[in-house]
Amino acid sequence: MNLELIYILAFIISLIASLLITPLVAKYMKKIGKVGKDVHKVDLPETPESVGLGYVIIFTLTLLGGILITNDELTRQRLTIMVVVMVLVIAIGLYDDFKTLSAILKPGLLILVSLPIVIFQVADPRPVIPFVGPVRLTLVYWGLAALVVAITSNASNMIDVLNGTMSGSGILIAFTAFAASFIVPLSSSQQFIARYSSLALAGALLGFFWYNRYPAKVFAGDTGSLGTGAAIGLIAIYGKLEFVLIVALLVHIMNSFSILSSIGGLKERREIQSRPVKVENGIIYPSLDKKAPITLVRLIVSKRPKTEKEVVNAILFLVLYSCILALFSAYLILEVSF
Amino acid sequence: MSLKENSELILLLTNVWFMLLGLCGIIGGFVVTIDLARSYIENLGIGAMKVMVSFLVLGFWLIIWYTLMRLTLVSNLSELKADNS
Repeated sequence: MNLELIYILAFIISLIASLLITPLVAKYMKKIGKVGKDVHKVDLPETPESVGLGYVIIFTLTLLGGILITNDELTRQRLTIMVVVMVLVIAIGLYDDFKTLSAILKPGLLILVSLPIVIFQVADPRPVIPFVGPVRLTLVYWGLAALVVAITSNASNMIDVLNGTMSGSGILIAFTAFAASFIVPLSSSQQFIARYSSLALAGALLGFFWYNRYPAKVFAGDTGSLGTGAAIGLIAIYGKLEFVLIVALLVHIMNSFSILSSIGGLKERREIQSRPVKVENGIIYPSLDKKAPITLVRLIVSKRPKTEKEVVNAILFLVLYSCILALFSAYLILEVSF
Repeated sequence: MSLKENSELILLLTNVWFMLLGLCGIIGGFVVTIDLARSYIENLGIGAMKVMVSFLVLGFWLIIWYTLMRLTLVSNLSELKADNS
């Protein structure tokens, strides 16, 4: 079958499946009482949580489809590792949603589930960086690769604070990965993984975003946000788009890095004494307390208090900007690839 | 959602991106091909040194980034306080 057609089908199938399955998962979560209050709304509506389970399963099943479609052994091995890591991350997300994991244990487990990447070593340990070209990081690469899924998953989890910010930004990043795969020189295996997986992720996320956009009818939960982050990290490694996706994730990294730096490392929510923002009548105000964590939302409302919708739009606008920078970076990589 | 509303954060992201590119240039300067004439231990030592220097530069990048964010927040909050009083 024509490769372009396969990519388009991966997008359409995951989109339709996500559109159909999300309301069913939401109904089930509501039935079992898995609901949370939307604290940024005046009437505090109860919204089904952990609904992201549906679209992350669809994305993982689409990856399984990719294993069946491809004739290339290396691509099959790479996709298999992606599926294994995704299943493990989904399990961690589900456990965290229903039983709650500690602030230290969660990233620890995410590093542990990345071990198949390090053990099987089927990625190319020569990331291409601007002005330098391919860098042979024989040992360091695997050490960093073990951290990638934990970093991207947590970054995605930490940006999932307002309606549609995680899913909307995930869509933008997935499309950026797809576009970058046409700019950065890649092997046929890396090209297939980058294009097929990014479009499958974009489709699954788009179907979910329809229900998660402001005003949200469903929440992704840790299952959805950790799964999305892991998917982006895996596309970066096996699609050889490491640098491009680091730049596309700058807003996510900025958010998590500022939170972790300002609170002094990984801490439980109860250990954080001051909240970064307060909500009054649907308006988000920044905390004036010097000890309050520096978050992206606090930075955005620090100039002028804003409604949730305004903050969501600002975050998506910033992610779009970082995606544009990522595509510029892809051109810089192209310059040094030959 | 306008460009003007988010100009400070866009400027911050642009600065961080330029610094990241600069960081790549600096790391690129440390790229030394493995010389087979040197012993394995010497090559390993040079490799470890390159990695350490790269992480040090990366650390500086993160410190500058955090400082820029903190300055932006403090300046915005003091303006907001002045407007409210």
